[in-house]
Amino acid sequence: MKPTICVLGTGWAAEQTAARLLSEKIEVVRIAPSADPPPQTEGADSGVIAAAICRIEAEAGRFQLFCRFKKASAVYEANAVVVAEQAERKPRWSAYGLMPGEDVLSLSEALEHPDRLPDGKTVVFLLGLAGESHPVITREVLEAAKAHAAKCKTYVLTGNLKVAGQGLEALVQECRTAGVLPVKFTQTRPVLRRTEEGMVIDMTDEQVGESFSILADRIVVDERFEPAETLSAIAEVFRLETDGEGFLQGDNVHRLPVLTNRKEVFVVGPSRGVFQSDLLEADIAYVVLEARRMLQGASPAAGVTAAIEPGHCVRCLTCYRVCPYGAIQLETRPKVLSDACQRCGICAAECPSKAITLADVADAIVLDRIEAFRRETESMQAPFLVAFGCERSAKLCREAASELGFALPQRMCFIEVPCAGRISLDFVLGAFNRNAQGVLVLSCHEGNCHSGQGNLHAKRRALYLKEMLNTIGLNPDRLHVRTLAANQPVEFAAACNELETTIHSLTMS
Amino acid sequence: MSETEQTGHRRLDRLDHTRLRNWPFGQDYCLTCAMCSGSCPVAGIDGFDPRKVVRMAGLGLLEELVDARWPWICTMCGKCEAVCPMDIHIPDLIRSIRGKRERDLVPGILHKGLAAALKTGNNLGMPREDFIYVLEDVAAEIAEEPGFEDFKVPIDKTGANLLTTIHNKLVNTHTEDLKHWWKIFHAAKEDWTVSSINWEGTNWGFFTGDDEGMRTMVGRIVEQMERLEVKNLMWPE
Repeated sequence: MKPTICVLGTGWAAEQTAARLLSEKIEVVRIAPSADPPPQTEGADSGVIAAAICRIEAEAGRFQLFCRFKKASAVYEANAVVVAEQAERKPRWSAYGLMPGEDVLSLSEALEHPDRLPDGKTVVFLLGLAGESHPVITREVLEAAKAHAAKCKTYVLTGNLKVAGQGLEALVQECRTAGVLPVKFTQTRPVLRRTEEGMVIDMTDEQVGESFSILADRIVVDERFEPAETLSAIAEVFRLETDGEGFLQGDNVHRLPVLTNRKEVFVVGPSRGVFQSDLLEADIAYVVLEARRMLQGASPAAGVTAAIEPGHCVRCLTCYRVCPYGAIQLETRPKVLSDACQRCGICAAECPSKAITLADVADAIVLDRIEAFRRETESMQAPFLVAFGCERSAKLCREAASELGFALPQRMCFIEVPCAGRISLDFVLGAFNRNAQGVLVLSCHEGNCHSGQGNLHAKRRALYLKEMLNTIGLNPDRLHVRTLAANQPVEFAAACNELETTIHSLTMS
Repeated sequence: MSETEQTGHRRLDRLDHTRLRNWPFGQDYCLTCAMCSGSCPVAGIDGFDPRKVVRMAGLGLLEELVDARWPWICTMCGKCEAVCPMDIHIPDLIRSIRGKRERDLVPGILHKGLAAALKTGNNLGMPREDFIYVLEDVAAEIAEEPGFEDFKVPIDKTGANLLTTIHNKLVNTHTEDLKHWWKIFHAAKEDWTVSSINWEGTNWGFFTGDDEGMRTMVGRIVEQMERLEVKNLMWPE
């Protein structure tokens, strides 16, 4: 298969990505997302299609991107999508209570027009005093300050000066050698005010503990990165996770470096909140690796995916809402995109009509296994326990615990599911129904779920189940809920044994 | 007073931050980590803090540093320098600040001692005859002890192997302490000598930051070595 990759973006990140993919002999469709697209004819020569993406459809290994122009529309096809949109730079005017003017300028302005900082002036750079500064911005401010230090009286007023970047620490020293005077603020902040003479900055030097003022001829305001305006529309169309600031990819370590919650949709550089050019190159290299994988047709074994039984579905759209991978497509009725489904099973557990199955962890299969285990172990004296756990954490812990020879409860049935989000009410109640004396629910730690919120679903259901147990006269302590990381066999064994101890003490009393 | 100064703050932009920059002590590289403050055995006395001194030097607050008591609180132990991640030479910086103070305002007897030494050859202003008298008196006492009957103090001996300097207190209040060294020399059959002029071993220019005075005092010792054609120096300061 020769894959076509659609590169979405307008600036240098998209250009670099497309160029690199082309150099790998990969077909590229470049679309520059635009809220206000030109007529279709324009831009056709450059190979970049400026269009508004209004809808996508996905079928086995193939995206269809429905684009709109001023007076036309078109559909483009691609096997994968790389979002490589630029970020926007926003000067922190309001954070400092400043207005741009002759003597107050943004970092971008200062870099573009060095003559706006004339020789012999007192120049004050503000850096990271209103929120942490990004290393890219830190470097630019320091470079600019250094460049002007010989001819100007140059100050850098800074908060936490983070120098974790290639050559950044050396640059700080070069600045000082060049004559830049840094003033660092940790407990206090400088106060800026406009006087008839000009902008005055009042401050305390925290090291010396003395108050100073600077009459600044020029103030250069640092900038922060914001997601490109088009990014939120892209996120909506592809149903991609975003982080707190609106960059794609969300705060999920399992997506690093270039994956999104959507299979075959990648995100690079400034679209995922990474602005260093060397890191963008690394991102693009990862995309190339993914493209080569597609080229070889070696899709990672997806296994069985979720399936909706049409006769049972009432179109409540619960599945559409809870799916972390955007794998439910709405047609006349919801449909699972098997390419996008990563078989977490959250939909199967949440579907109120029980219309969704994940064949290898279907209710009947799981409950039959519990029942079979009960029968096989009937002769044992130990309490009958059932532990449900996530394959990504609990399963690996169990394997390690057995390899290390840790003692585990004698009569505990382990049921491992692709995600704790699959552990439905029916699983737990079914276990109690089959005479389990205690049930353990093991999910990944909060914030570390591959499926985003599968662990939270498990926790919420378990709390609800405890109320239920209470209502029906079962001690809610018979249900334990714990979180694990994949490298915690000790904690895993402790959680299993703790349940057994609890059940023992409940039986004794 | 202009509107700018209404707050009563000092005008930072009117300070010349460059005037201490030519001091080769690297104070501009301070990361403000405060390892120096943490290691300093006298930090906190009168608010002394080596990091503050470094920062003030970086800002160019020369008069404030020279007038402050802080540089004189420092014991020159050098722990700050040993722990500084940026290799800032803080004791050298402090010495330089001390050197900038008017000599009459140097605390205690430090400068008076140095001035006397520069004028007379020793901190006490002790005449040559008195010095020789004290040495011979001590030597006579040693000679009374068993095993040291032939002991003589070899003053101004040309061509000796070792010249030793004398701390002024050893010919003033602590004459007994001379005996230990001399007996060792005697027992080891060392070929040694003491100069009758410019014998002073202490060099208070080191403590007051007076490079010129320090150089003169060191130069005089070298002169005596040359005059007496001595190869080795014992300078027990």
